[in-house]
Amino acid sequence: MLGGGPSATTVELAIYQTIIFEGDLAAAARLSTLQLILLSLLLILSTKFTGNMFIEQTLILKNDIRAPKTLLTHWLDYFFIVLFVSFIFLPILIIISKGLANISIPTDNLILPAMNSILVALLATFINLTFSLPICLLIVDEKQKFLKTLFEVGSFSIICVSPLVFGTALFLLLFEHIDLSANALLLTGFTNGVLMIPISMAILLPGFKKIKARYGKLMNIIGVPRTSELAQFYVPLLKKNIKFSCALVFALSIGDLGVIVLFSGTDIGTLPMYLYRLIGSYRMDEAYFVAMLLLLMAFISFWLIENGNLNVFKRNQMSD
Amino acid sequence: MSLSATKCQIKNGGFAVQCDFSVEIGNHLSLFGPSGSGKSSVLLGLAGFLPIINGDLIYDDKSITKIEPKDRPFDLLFQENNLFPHLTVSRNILLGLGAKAKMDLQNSHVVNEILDLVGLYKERDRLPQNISGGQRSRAAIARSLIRKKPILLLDEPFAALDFELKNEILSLLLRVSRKNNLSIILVSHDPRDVKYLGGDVVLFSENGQTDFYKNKSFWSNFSYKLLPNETHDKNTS
Repeated sequence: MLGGGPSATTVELAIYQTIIFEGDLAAAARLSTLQLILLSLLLILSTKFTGNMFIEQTLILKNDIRAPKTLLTHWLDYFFIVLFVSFIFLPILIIISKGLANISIPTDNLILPAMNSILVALLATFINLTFSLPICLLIVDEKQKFLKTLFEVGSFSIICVSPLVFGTALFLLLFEHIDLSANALLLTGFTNGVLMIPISMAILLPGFKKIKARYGKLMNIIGVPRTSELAQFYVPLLKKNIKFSCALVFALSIGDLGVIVLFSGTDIGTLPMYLYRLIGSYRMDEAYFVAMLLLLMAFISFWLIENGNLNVFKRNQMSD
Repeated sequence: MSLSATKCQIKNGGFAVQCDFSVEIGNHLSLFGPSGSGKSSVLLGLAGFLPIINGDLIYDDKSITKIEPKDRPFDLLFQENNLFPHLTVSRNILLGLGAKAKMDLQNSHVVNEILDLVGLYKERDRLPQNISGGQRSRAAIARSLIRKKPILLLDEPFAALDFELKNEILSLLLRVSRKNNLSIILVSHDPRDVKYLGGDVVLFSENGQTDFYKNKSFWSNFSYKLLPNETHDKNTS
């Protein structure tokens, strides 16, 4: 959406343009279906290569795949580490330096978009946690292997759905019934929260499985009702993982342009949307400053949520 | 009142073990044999965590083969992780009164009495990671006692403790079992534990076979083989 012309058009962008500029909802639905099929095929293909589709399992590095160390591989390791660090940190450094250079430029109506971004991120985090915690519990509590796998695969498959495809579905479902523009923040928060379920599950599910393996029988023999398991045991024991998941969802959501472009009119917007408009109108000096602000908000919120200094969090986390 | 396993076949993955025994409430039973012979599988089958595919488990003249673990007449102490690490000793014990039990005046009195009994009153507000292994075992026993189940299943929960501490805990258990008419079913591969506990013995072989022995019959058959030093000392003294 930042530019590139017709040659750089993706299915995502085509969906966006079909709804916003042409108003052709049937075409948007067709494109969304195409996107969904493409992503599902990619997921199946990646499963074929990796052997499984579960992120938590693919994160485990096995010793036997490590190549023997030689001087060449040693320097190659350094080269790639420096390359990847530069890839991540150079844009961040550029944003900070340009943002600091343009700090004096007055930027109008900045507070409202910033507050809206925080609101969307809060909502996304809440929705995400509300869904992912019970799903994890459902997966670890299910006794039938088939249903267990079905729930697990089903939840991780959400990763196939792109925000614009999900947003388009919501748009088609709701545009006749509610004022989409007035509820833009709500819908964006909801979409972000739901679509980040695979990310939070990749963080939370291993912890749930560990607790089930260690204390499942004990809970069972004591007679802990399923309704109490989550609040009394899983949440207090997994506070560290939950905080990390919340921090990630919040930070990703606060900086995401996302589906708000589908729902929002000109009056309600988030900070990324405001940034997008600044770039669109070539107000680059202001854009640098807003980008820096957005970056700081994401970093600070991540740090605050993950390191929230509440005594109860420190005391109750499960040791490995 | 008694518990009897009649030709019970318990399945654990691709492995099945059969056992036949009967124990009167107030008496004890040891499941004794080498590692991997199916002792823990039998214990988990009794507790309801593994399916009994043949035979019947009878308690107080009623079949309990199909009922949920929490409704069976057992409490179970595992090899490890018997306490929740985020709860203090007293809160862990309170769980024995129910998952939703509150630390009100009445419950607090009950918990304190048990804490006194197992010698952990001073440690009541500490977390499990801040007390010793022996104290953790005693806290788990305290929670079992508060549940007032007639049979306590022990899956080598004191294996990590040294011999003296293990005997101290077993002696505490025997004391409270006499007082509360509690039966203990102990899994062990150490003949000294079996001797200390007393009671009848189910002997497990490596091929998955089990044989039930009355206490006297077991020791007259195996004493010399299992505890040669003890037998030798007795004969020479």
